[in-house]
Amino acid sequence: MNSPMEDRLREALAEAGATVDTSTLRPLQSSGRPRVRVDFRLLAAAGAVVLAGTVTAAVLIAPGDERRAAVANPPVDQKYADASVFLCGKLSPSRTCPGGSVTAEQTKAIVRALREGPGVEQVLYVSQDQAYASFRRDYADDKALLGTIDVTDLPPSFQIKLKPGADPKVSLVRMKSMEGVGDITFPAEAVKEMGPEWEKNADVSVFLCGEQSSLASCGAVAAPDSTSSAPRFVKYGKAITPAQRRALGKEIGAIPGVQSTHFESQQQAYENFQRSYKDNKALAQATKKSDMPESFRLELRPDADWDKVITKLKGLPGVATVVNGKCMIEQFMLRTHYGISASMGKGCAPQPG
Amino acid sequence: MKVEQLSPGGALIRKRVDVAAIFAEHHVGLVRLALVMVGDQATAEDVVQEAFTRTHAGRGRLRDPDKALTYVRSAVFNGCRSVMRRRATVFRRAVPYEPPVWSAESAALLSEERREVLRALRELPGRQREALTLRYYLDLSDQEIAETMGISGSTARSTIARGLAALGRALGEDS
Repeated sequence: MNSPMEDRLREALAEAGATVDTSTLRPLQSSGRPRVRVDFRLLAAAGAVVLAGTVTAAVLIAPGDERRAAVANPPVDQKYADASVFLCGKLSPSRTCPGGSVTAEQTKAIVRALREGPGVEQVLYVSQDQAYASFRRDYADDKALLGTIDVTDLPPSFQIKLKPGADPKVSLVRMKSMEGVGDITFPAEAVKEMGPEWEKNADVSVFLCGEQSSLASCGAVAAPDSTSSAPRFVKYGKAITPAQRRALGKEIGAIPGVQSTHFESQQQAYENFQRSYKDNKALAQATKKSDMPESFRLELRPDADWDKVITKLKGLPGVATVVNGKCMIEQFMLRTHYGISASMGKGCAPQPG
Repeated sequence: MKVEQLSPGGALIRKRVDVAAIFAEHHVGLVRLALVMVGDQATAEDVVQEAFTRTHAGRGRLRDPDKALTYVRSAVFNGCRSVMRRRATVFRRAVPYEPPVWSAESAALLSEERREVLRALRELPGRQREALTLRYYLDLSDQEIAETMGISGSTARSTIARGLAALGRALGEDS
């Protein structure tokens, strides 16, 4: 009992819809957010002990993210800049630097914006050469790192000194989205948070397999059609059993180079996490106790071969992943002082998921 | 391949609907729907992509598998509405935007008769246009239309009836 009007409408719409050219249809791009979230929490739990929450956030969250580290107090140490604005360079991520290296026009615009920034007292330009000279001095005993980075890899930057009491985040928030700005870091605050002895505080976190783990190391088997945006599993991983956990604790204690171990339960991990992210209500509320992994925290002797110990740990049954706290801090420092993204630290990169 | 029996928790995760998969499965269909709403393929694809990105983050939250497609359609639909609103603002004082599908350039794609109907459809108030599109393009029931648009079933019914009548008047039908 269709009226002619209905038929006409139906036909017109059908024909219009049929004009979609499926051969030129762009595939859907995943934002990849769910996967990042999982990795992120694992790493965040690792960082919560060594680092204060704000610093951890800066390590883990890419520049440009609104949840960037909140800045607590104005820095006191005169040795380091209150903020470093890194310009786009050779190694800058294309997400923040779609146009490649910074242009002269962009640099001029950035200088202008900095001069007008509220609370900005002094702006100092650091060229690639100057950055490289300082880099060589700081990492004189790390031949491996010096070998992978040359002068053109380091982005030039503006080092900012703020007036007393000015909040660097407020002053520079507008800069983040400017073209030619690759990254903004807050060195003075970072150094204050970490303390001069940070290397001694670094530990190794051995995360244990939990229920429904999607990690291959816990026995999860991904389906053949699984993608990072739509993960599917033939089989989920298994949680570590109490007997396995006891055996693992004993085995870890016997590895040469391990100075001490302590076990962190889900409950403790959850409390640490909530403390570290008390300023980030959304994140804290979205995280349940059952989301947190159990872990062993290890102190290694400084002279031990960290890489070797970590490789051994990764191979033990019931171990989901191992995070090297020293690497995390090193990468954080590299980014803070030299604007090199975390993935540059070779061999040290925390293994995702 | 041997499939392990899942614990109750695992079964729940399985039952949760994977919005990403629904988008992948219905991608072309969703673009077609967006196209008849916004008029050109590029914008239609953008709308679907945006809806995908937005709903993707929340894919763990959707627990009722029967509602998944409705949910996804609503997301696309809302995207189309935003596009129409944006255009209305931008072009209020400028030349009216003429999307390709019902424009003169698309004469090669659609006959004059079809374009006339689509033009008349475009002149209708937003809700009527949307309801008619869902009914006569996707062949949805009153209840499904209501859920997609977030209105009641009876409102959906009366909106369709009014839209159809207005369309008939616009096209000079005597009935």
